[in-house]
Amino acid sequence: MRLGGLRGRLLVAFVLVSLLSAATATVPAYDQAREAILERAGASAVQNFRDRVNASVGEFDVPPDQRSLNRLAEAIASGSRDAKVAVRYRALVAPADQEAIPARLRDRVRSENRLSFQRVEWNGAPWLVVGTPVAFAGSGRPSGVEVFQVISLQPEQDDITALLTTVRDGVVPVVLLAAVLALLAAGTVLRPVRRLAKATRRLADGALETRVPVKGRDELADLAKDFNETADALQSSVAELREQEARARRFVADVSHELRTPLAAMTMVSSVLDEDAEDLPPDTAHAARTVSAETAGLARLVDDLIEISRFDAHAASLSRQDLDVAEVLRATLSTRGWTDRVTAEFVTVRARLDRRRLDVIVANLVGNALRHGAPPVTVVLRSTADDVFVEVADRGQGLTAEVARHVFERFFKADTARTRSEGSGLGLAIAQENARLHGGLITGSDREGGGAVFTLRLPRNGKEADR
Amino acid sequence: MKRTFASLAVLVLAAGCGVRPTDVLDGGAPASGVPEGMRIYFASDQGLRGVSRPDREITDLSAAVKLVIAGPNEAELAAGLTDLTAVTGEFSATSLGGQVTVRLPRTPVTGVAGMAAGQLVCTLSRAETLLHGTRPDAVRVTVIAQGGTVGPYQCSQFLTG
Repeated sequence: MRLGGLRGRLLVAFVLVSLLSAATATVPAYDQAREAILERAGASAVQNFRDRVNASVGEFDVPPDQRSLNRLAEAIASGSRDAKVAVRYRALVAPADQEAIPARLRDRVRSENRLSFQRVEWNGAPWLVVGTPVAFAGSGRPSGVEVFQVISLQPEQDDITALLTTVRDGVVPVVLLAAVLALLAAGTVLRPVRRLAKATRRLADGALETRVPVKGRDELADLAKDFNETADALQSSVAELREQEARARRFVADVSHELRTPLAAMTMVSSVLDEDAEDLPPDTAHAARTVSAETAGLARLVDDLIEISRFDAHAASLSRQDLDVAEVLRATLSTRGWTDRVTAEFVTVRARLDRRRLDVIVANLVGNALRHGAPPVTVVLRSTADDVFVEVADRGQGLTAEVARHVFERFFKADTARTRSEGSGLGLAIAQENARLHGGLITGSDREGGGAVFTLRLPRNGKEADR
Repeated sequence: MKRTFASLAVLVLAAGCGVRPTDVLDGGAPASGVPEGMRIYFASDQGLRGVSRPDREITDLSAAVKLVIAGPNEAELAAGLTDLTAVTGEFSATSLGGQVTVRLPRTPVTGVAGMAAGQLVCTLSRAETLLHGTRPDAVRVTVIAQGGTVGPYQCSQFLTG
């Protein structure tokens, strides 16, 4: 149990409150009872002492001698409970052992013609020491005789200890009860809170249909209700968004498909125009070549769009085969006529990959490097036990952090001054989708010494990406 | 939370535990009852008993002997006191350095034996103390009677606790 948690805090608070109330209830009562016990014991001891001294000194001659002083001490002590009596007359003392009598009390008795008493701690036990000068019977003048008595307060102490024990025995069950109540109270609060916490986690994990039961009519029930409403709203907006997104993607796919047929016709016508361009007047020839080039670009864009739509519709599938990766890369470079413009460093490694998709990825990366970077462009193939790495590096501008973050987005243009890219603007996005389909990833970063480097990582063992 | 703890602790500490020592407290009037002035002694069935004669100013030792011979008053008689001395004829008492000598030439020694001797010894030793300030335990009383001497005795020898 965490002490900082709700349960711990409640427990501490309850126990403290119960302790506090028990203390405020019992401490003053205990205090008064104790004072009353001591007061009464003291008063009766003093009264009793005075009576016995008065009764004993009737036959006492002043000035006394040692023997008569001893006799007086014995007479006063006889019949009193467990008490030591000492009598002094100037230099005479009976009995000799008087260490229990505090000096301050002795001084007070000597200086004032009053009975005085004091509670002391002596030898680890409580004692009441009473002292009085004895006056003459007739005149009331002090006779010079001083009588002291040391009375044990042990019985009173035992009574007080018993009181304290009673108080303690009363408080302990109360505190335990408070603790139990605190745990119960914490439970009633914590159960709904835990349910809410679990539901929130499930919601965060994407289970948007999660709801919590609303019990009772307290604040926690309100919270649960609010949670459910929030989840409802979230679910409906997410559903709506997904719906919109799906619609948009379907629209793109449909448009792309619709464009293919006219594009095929346009491509055919523009290729015919291209072939005959030399026989046309220069202006017309230029127009024909422009139309042909733009049509080819449009055809590429539509192909790429269709490709992307397949990924979006999760219709893209891998056909893995056992490949010699270096051989695939060499083929990729040679079919596009890049062999002379690229420095290649390949190790021999075999992996289960989709040949066409690997070709698309590498072609995109190298094409990008050639278009946007600056030579020399290097392609490095490395491998570890689990992965194949293809690094495509150039010595161009490099990537700013901003660009590195967005470079795989569709139609992203690193150079904002360039409104038209030579590619479709979808190349890196498609490459990334292909890598993901393999369970891999492409990362772009700055290269030491200037330029950009794109690293493709593909798992060799052919683990499907969980999409 | 901390404040609660603190106040709780203060409360408990303020109450304290058990019996705490106190300062010296006043307990009222002092004890009294020490007899002042002259005391003479009579016999009772509980041994010698002293009674006060505060109104009597003692000027010499013989006056003390006179007081004893005069016997107990009515209240003392009612309390069971009695005079056992059988002094007859003249008497005199002198003291020298705490040594008191009582001469009873006409009194047989049997008249001043036992408790009667105690009566004289204690009465005279008290008188000696009052007259000359001799310490009670330094006083010795010798009774010279007809046919014998009693003492020297101290008063405390006759007083049984």
